[in-house]
Amino acid sequence: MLEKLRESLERRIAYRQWWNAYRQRTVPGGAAWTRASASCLLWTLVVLVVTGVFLMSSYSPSMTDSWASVHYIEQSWAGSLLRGIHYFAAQFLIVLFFLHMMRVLIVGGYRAPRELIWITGLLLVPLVLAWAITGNPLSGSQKGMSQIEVEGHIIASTPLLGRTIQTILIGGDRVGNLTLTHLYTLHVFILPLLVGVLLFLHISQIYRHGLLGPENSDESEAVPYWPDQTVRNMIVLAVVMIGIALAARWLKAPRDVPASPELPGMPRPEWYFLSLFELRRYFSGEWEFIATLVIPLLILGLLLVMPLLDRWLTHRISVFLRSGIVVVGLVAWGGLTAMPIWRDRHDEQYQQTHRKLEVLGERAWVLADRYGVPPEGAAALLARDPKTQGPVLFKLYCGSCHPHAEPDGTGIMPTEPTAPNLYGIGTPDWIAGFLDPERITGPHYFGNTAKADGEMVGTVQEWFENAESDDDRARIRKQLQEIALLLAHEANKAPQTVDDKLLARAKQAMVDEFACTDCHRFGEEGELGSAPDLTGYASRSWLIEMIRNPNAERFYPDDANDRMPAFAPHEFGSAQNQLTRRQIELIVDWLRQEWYEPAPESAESQ
Amino acid sequence: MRPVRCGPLGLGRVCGYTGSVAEGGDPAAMASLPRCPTRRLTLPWCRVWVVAMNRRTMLKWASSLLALFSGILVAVPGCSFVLAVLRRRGGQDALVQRVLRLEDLPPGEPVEVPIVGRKRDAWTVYDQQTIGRVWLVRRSKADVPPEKSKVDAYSAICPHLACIVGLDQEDRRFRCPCHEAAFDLSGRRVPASELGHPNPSPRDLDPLKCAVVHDADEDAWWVEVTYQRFRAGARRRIPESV
Repeated sequence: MLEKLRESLERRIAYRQWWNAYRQRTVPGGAAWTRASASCLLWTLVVLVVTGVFLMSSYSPSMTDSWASVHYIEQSWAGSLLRGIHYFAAQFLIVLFFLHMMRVLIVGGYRAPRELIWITGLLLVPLVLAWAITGNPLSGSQKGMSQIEVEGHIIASTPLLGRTIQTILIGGDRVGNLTLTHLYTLHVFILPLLVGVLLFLHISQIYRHGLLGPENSDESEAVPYWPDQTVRNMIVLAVVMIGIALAARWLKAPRDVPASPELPGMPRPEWYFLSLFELRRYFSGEWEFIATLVIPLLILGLLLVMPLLDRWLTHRISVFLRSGIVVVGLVAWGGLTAMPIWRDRHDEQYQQTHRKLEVLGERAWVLADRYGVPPEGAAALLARDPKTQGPVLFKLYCGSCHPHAEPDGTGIMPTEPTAPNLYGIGTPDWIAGFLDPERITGPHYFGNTAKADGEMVGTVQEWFENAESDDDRARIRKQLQEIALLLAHEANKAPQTVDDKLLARAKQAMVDEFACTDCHRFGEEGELGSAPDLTGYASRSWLIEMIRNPNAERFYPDDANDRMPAFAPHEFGSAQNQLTRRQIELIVDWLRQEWYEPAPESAESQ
Repeated sequence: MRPVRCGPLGLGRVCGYTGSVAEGGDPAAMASLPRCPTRRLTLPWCRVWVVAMNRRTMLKWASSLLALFSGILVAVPGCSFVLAVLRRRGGQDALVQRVLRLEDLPPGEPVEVPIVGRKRDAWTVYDQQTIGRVWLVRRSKADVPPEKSKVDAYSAICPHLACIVGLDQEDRRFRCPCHEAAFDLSGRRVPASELGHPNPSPRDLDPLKCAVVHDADEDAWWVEVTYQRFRAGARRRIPESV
């Protein structure tokens, strides 16, 4: 039955000729491990195409979606492994490619009648590299987008057609949506098509001319390719695949920070282009294209004419030349690659930015895990994150007066602090500092302000000076501690243990014993106008209003304001405001330490 | 014998001549376009078109031409579509923007500010997007009255390959993280002799028009920058849209 089916299939599509062509191949000189480089390269390429097709099914090339879809792939079931295999197979492919080329060069595999095998193989070099480069920016990461931006300008600085090619490649004069769609088209269709055509020529030539045997090898030493050589190929392939899978599982494909115009760019090319990056250093100005275009083309040209050159050379000189190319090539490539790595490692500024981008990348990932990516795109994840934006905005707008220094002294510290330290604002301890005669006059509170000898400071000091005994002072302290808890409750920062009885007691003390409401308003007690409102003190809305306009009646009207500017006294949306609603909210949420942090156990399991 | 006749592509009858050539004759001679032997017509266009071919040769020609026609019908819009980005020019040439209050700019200390504006990225329009970065340097001392204050502005876009230059606090100069172009605090290229390697930038940092203006509404002094962008990699300053 099965045999019949096979027969009828054979009559219709004649499949056996293909299988026979493979089965009848022989390996002159016997099977060899080094010959596995070709097959391994081919199958790695197939793995890339297959994983690539799977990735395509969930990828979306646009400035808003690319990073988001990569994040989606990564957190889908098996997605991380799939993308990892795709990423590391590409790295392995490039290594294997050059190993294969070196082997063919050393054994002289380019000689007649195999010139076309050599030439098609060499033409694959720029195509495969272009294939790899067009893939990197597709992740929509800051690194990838900066890379293609610089690469675009490098292309543009090439004489003649440079600018035209750059404009077509990146789709205009700035990197953007069209850059991604163009690179995507190249990466998933045009380059694979070209590589496929060249590969077909390459392989059909190999079948036509057979494998090259070792010099002066004997016909009788030939062994069948299948299975003698095939089994070696498959063992090598399996080892490579294990390496790729392990790298994909444990090293993981990079999860870089999403591209954003707010972030610093630190473009470095991928490792396989570092040598050209280094070479550019030795040519300045208009001559840089010599490093990026002329030298690579000359090397490619030299290799292309090897079949011709070889005819004129004696055997000895040919061997010398071939091994010379391999050795000099390896040394030059290694040296040029190592130098920028070494320099960057000793460049503190580079390392700092690098670390910063790494931290931001992790943060963006955490936020996307928690909230998903908003329709404005992945860049909005960090732009809306108080933990990321808070310190930046604070430093720019608040940090020349207010410190934000943690107890251990780290944080933001102005050169001349003239306002209270806002670290932990609204917490019981922070409020308690205002009610402590020593701390209120210290540098973290009113010490450096015009309020250092104001009424508040005087009042607090009086409470303690008027106390009759140590017991009295201890009682006052305990009551003030409770008032601090009450105010922290207003800020929504009180611990869970605070109960209604304590709050009522503290409020009683505020109104009667300490007479806070003589100056401050608190709920229905007291009036506005002479001191900041304690209703909802240091809560989110209180802080937002305070930053908008500290001169408002609720805070420091008339001349009571020491020196704090009004950052948004006009309606939100007005161009006259210094800060937008979003910016103020980011500062406030950061001050109140209200941002998302993943639970520690989930961080460990990752 | 093969019949031949005179006419465009052997179709029509231009001069009315019909004749025949030997079958199995020289194929090269058949393929070339022989002139009509009557030479009755002397119109220039006619001389070109006078051919002798048989029906089948004509059909081969016609098939090829029709295929070419269909190909062109796809290739022309296809290529135009790809090349369209070359024609697209857009955006403003310059953008005037208040970037910082004068009081927030310490004398002698460079400060980087973003230029925020509307940006169109193919089909997406961003209303508020950082479209550029500018380094400000306040040249006058703090006690100089605002109206006489002098502030210099330089585009932070490196003239080499358009990375964003940063401030190297240690050496007190602007430095590009990409290929180590360096500029002094007046935007001039640091010579290779001081740098220890060639300075890859083809020109100095791009200076921008910068003024200190008064806002009567809130009685504040602002630094106002006229933001422009210039082509990277060129020795001269060639303006681009911002």
